[in-house]
Amino acid sequence: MTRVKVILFAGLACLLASAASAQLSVVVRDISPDQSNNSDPDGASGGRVNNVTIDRSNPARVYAASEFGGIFRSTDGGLTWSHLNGHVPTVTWDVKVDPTNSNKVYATSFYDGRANSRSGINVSTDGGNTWTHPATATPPVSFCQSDVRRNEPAAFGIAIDPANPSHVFVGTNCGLAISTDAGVTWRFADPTPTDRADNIGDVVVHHGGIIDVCGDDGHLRSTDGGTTWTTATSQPLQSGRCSIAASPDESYVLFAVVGTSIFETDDGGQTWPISYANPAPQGRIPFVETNKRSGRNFDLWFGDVGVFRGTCTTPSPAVPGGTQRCTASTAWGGSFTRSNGAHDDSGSMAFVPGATSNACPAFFSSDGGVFRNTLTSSPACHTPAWTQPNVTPHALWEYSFEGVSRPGATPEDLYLGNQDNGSFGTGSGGGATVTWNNERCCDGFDTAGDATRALTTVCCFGGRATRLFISGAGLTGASPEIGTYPPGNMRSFEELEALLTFSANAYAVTSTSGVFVTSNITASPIVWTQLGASSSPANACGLALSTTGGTPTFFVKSGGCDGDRAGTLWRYQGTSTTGTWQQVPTPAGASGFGIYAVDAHDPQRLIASQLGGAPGPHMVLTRNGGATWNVLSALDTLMTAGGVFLYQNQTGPTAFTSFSGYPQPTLVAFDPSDPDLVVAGGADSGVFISANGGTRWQLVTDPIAPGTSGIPHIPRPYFAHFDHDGPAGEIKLSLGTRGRGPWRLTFKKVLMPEIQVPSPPSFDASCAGDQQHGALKVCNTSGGDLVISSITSSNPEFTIVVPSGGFPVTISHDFCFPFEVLFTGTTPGTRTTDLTITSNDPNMPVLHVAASASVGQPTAVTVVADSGNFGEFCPAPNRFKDLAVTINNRGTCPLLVTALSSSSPDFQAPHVLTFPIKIAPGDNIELPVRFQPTTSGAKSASLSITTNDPAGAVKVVALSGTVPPDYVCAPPSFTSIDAAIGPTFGSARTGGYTVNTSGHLLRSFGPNRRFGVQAQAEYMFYPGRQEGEVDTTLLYRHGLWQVGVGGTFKDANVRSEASAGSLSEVAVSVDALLSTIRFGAFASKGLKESDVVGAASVLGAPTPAGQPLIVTEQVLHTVDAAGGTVQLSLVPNLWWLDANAAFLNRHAPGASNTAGAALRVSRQLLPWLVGNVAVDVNESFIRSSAIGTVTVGLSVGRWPRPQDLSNPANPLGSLVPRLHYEVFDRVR
Amino acid sequence: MRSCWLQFGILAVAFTVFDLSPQTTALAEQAAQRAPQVESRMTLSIETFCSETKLRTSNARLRWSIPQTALSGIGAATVSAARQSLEATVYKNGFEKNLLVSLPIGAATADRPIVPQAQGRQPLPRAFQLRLIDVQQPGATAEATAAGEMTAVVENLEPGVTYTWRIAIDTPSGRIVSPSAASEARVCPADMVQGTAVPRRKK
Repeated sequence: MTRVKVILFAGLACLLASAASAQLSVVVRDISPDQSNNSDPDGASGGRVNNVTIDRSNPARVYAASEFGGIFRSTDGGLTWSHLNGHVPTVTWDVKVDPTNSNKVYATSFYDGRANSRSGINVSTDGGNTWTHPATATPPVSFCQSDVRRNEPAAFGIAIDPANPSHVFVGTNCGLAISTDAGVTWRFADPTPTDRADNIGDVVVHHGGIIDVCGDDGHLRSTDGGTTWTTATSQPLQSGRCSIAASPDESYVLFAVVGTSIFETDDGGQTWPISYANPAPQGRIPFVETNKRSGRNFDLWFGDVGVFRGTCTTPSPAVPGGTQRCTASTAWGGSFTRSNGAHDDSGSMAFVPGATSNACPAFFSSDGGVFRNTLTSSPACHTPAWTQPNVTPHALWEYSFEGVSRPGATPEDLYLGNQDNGSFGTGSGGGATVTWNNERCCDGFDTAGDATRALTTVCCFGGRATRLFISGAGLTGASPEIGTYPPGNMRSFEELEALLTFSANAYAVTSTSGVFVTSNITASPIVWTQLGASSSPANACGLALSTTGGTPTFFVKSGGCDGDRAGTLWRYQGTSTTGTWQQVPTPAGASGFGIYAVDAHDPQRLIASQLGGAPGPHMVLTRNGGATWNVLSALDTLMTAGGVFLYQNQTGPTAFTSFSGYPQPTLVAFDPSDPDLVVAGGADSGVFISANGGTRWQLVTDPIAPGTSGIPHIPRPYFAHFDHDGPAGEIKLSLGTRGRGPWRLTFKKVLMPEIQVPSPPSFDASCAGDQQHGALKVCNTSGGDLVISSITSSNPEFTIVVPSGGFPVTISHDFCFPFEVLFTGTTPGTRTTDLTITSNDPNMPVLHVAASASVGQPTAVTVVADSGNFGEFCPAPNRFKDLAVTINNRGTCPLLVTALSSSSPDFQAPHVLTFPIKIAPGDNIELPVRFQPTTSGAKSASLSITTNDPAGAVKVVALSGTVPPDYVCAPPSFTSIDAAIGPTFGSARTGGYTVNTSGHLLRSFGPNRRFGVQAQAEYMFYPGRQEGEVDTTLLYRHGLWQVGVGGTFKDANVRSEASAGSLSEVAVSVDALLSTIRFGAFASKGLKESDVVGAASVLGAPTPAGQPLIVTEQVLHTVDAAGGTVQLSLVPNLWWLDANAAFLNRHAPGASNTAGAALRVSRQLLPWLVGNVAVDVNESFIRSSAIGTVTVGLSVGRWPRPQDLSNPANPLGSLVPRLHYEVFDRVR
Repeated sequence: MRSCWLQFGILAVAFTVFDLSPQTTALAEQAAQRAPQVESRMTLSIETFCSETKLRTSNARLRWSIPQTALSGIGAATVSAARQSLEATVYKNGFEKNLLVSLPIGAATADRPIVPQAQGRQPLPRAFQLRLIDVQQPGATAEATAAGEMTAVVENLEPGVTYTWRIAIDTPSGRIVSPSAASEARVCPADMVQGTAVPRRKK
């Protein structure tokens, strides 16, 4: 049977849109043998099938779970089998059908290598065509014994509750999965919750829902649907891989096989005291099944190497305990395998469904696939007569695959060495129908051949287990065992090759003792020569050959002989025994190599998978014998399907149901006839072909969705053979796999282009809006034409100029095409784009090139003196203060000032006739900002400068200034002219009335107008006297306090005297200026204290010297004073009072000191006119007795008064009284 | 068979199986009385493989190490100087239940293996029919500088059975054991060509 699929791939499904011109058009053909023609049933063609099951509702429909090939289905009662591509996991364990629903199928599998795994539990609702991995079929976090069990799931036995088929139970690597809705949703139960969940290998549900499981925790039983569990109290069931079955009659009688040991419990698992000797132990995957027979009898079927039927009887009455239910195994029937038409090494048995008793065993699965029982009637059927199907499952596990090209399209010698199923050969490997000869049974390992013969190694025999046979081409004719073996044992159970031919009759073989060659395999005895015995690598396997100039160079790998563990590579040139094995350098950091291949004609050219070490797994290629290794990144990407699969997993299934983990790479091979062609393969990720020597690759199978694409998935390819005998350049690539048998891929070589972009386009620095040109250089470094179908930019600032010829653009080998890219930046900064180049490059159909350009920008910097503080400023009409704001552009593009505004009318931005103001990079301008306040107080504003600076379109300059209060900016100006008249009193007065007039001036000055100068002039008239006085006082005020220092000049004319006199004094004062009253203190001291204003002379009494003339002078003399003053308001703003009183220190001889005082009451008549009444005593002229005046007067102008006391800063004048004086006589 | 056991008896003196039948309860109780102390600084790793010389024969290679600090604590100068034994169980919590086999670490080869000795007339379960066929001790240099690592190869594991292993060391102050490590015995199939049989181990 052959199935053909024509595929056209550019990688995964997403890559299908690529231009097709560079793609290989591949015809995929399954060329597995449909049957074995070997009379020994241990020669077979199905590969191992772990479990087989019959659809109860449609018994013609049968399912098989194969070891490495996925799920198979027969719809004709098991005569022909076909692969179910919709079930993606390929390493499968069990399959079961809902007994009430043919469409509902459950399957279990081991880890599928996916980062997001779909293995473990899969459910089909359409009879196996399509499958889903329910989301709830993943255990909870931290539930499993190790987290990797959750990430790399595996599942084992399936049980459907016969009493309630929607209840499904699955043993997994993380406890028991339970569904109560026919597989729609799942929950996980851990029967030993004191530790994390581990392996449950098998489960049986029986007698109304009793659940019994076995596995790493031994046996456990639940009678409540998996909520609680019981286990043995003593004599427990051992742990491990297991199968479990229940007696059809007694719920407490169970049978289990763990490892190779068979046990029975008769108390529901509380103890397992009964064991049966295994008639033929091996432990591949043993099983136990029970089958109800008539009456109280049932059969116990047990399978290991063979299948046996034990006769069992249920006691009467049926009670727990008692004797073992079955006869000793020495009395069991069987073995019913090899001698009954079926391959040894059991998998499972399926009985005809529906019968309540005496159901015939219908199918048996084993290492040979599926076998049908040709006996269909009881009781004869219970001694089965098996036969192989017409078309077995195609699930061969190959240990070797060799091809010998022969002239013509059809003749092609292909050889298979299969685990379990022996050696196959054909001479029609290129034909539409491939006829295979299953020459030998059992375990076939290595094969090698030439045009006339084929060598195969087969296991297992007594004595030398693995033996080497020589057959005719295509494994025809006689096939004698060789007569002379090289030292050591022939290598076995390894994927890497151990046998090859290097010239006519000359063969090389690796044994457990080294590498040996013979120049004549037909000689008797055969002469074997060891290559480089003294330097022979340990555990050499993986034999490969490259021949140049007739000299062979042999390569071997030391260790890791399945290709999934790291080992070292070694080379040996020639066949001399005295040569030396030389190690091929390992890539830096790697632990070693996994798989490898060498160019048949260039020993310097190798391709390999590197494993371990810091770099992790990679595909690498060397052209200089390993001196340098190049990472094949395109192939790396395909090996994981872009991350769909892990490059290296931890617990992936390995040989014989081990879970040791594996790397993806399983295959690399050079085409001996065309150095451009290279094939590679991944365990889960499929088959890849390179047509340019290894730098560009194409996925030619479908590992993702083969069920929907119709393109087969070929898992675990290990071997390849190229043949170029097809018509019109047709190439046949035959592949050997582990688990899916041999395949043929037919295609024509299409040179693959290889896109390279040496560098992204570059652009000069620009400013927003400027247009820059860049060149995107796209090169083709490989043989096929590179067709660029489009280039797009993710950023519209970058545009691709469509070439004059438009797209697509074809670039020939070793040419580059400079696509023009325009950049028009709109926003300053580094602008980036993803240039997406779509081409027919098979590995980079979409190439992303990151490009960038720099857009400059203006950067505004503002500078203002004094931090924008205008200081104190007293406004006045047309008075203002300007401050310069400097705007600097320290960017790389012109700075545009587009607006200026002030937040306060006190600060005025300059008026600009036309915006914008343009400032070149590096330049600056000064803008005058005017401070023209109208009111007092602290002023502030923000000057907003609007620019095109992207970092901040509006620059804000803080402005501030202060307008001092009025007493600073407009201090009061005190000026008045006073006049008063009134009578005098006192006996010593110099006239009956007085008239006086005065002028007063007070001005403040200095900081905050705290200083003041006061000047006064006064004229007083008395009928007997006239006085003129001028005084000046310097004042300083600090808060409430005012001090003054002044001087007074007075000219007095006392008419009674001969002449007028003048005097002066100095005075100091201190005032406390309260809000409604002021107090003051003063003191004055004469400066020019006296002046002679008259004289008289008389003759004195005569003396001996004569009569003296006595002269008496009239002296005008100052009177020093000290006293206090007060000014207070009587009626606010209307009446007030000024008063002073002084102590007067007289100088007249014999005169007593006296006192003086003055009191004046004033009333504001008009703001500029004040009337007053005053009375004073001894205010100016001091006589022997007090004299005074009472006056009324007017004051025109303004002079400090109580309402001025609200002025907090300005001096308010001194109230020091007039200069006091007196007249007296003195003798000169 | 009897002659075989006699042949190996000189070397295989103390391979002991605990609690394989009710008759061994006294021995189990005795063992339980000396509850071992787990020495967490000890490391133990298991590698399972199929015999390269015997078909259908499942083997395990055990590697363990004892840090020098732990050695001094038990009064042994080197790891090889310690009184060690290899213990295995195939039962859930088998060590705690004394469902185990124990054999002393000593000189062993494939031709002169250390084998278990059944208690009384009880046959050994298949899973416990182990043979210690190789013991590698650290060299003198390793002994001088560090505790080193020891390796032992155990033959004839029951395929598919989950073994839990540990190393036990008897010291004057009591028994210490390594942390346990579990592994499933490899299945080593061999399809025998018609008319031939699996070669038997030489007796």
